[in-house]
Amino acid sequence: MKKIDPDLMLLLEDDLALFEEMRGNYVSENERVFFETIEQKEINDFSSMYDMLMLEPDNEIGFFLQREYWNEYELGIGKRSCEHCDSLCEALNFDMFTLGHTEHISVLQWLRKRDYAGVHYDRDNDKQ
Amino acid sequence: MGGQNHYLPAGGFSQYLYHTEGESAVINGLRVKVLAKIDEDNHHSGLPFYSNTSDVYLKIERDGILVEQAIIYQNRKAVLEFDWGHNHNGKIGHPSFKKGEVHVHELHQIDGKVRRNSKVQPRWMNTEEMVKYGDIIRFANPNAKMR
Repeated sequence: MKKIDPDLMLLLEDDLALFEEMRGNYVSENERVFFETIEQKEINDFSSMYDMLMLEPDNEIGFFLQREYWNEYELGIGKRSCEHCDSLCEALNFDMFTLGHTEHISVLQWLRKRDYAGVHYDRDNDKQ
Repeated sequence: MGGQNHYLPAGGFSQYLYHTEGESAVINGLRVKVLAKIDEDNHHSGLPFYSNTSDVYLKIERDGILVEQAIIYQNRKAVLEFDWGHNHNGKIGHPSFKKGEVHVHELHQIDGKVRRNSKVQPRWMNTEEMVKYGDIIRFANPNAKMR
């Protein structure tokens, strides 16, 4: 892996710790792809126009998750909710009931239940 | 208006990814435009960090009606971001913002490229900003709360 700029490493410290914790402990191949892809995106791809990981039409409840800048995330369900998170850690721990979902489940648990179906890795606007 | 990879320091962009919506305006001497990404109707994409000739770009909310963000540019590079389209929970010792409350992100440059730091918590508008940009925020969305 290429050497990460120290300032960037400090910025990403919570997520780098998460990626390290997840490594080797993935529950599925799709989970491995999710974490390893986002790790590379956070380290290499500053997204000023946002990276659309999941949009409303990609799932049955209208959930959206987009990466912004290095490691900030915006998430919500349809037009009902819109929350901003300062790290992937924070985004994955978000209780979807707060967003208007019918059950108390974290974003990570919800993604795992569907085995990351609907997640896209090729919609970073800055890569157009 | 294009992205960071299309910005041409001499002027313009190698590729234009945004178009103007509605009428442009000049408010307190600043050129203001509402932008939307070409071929996108869900208004999810962020505003570019580089401008063409405008001083302020405004972003429409996902409802397609109201404006939820304004970016201020100096010498074509973004310097301030005013957001009010989402809840932003502040870290300990920092304010939290509900949707509709304007919070300010200061942008910076690294090697000439505009960047944003997630560790720097947003803040309320200061008095100078309210004087200079308040009319623009009110033009963008009369319901936005500045302090």
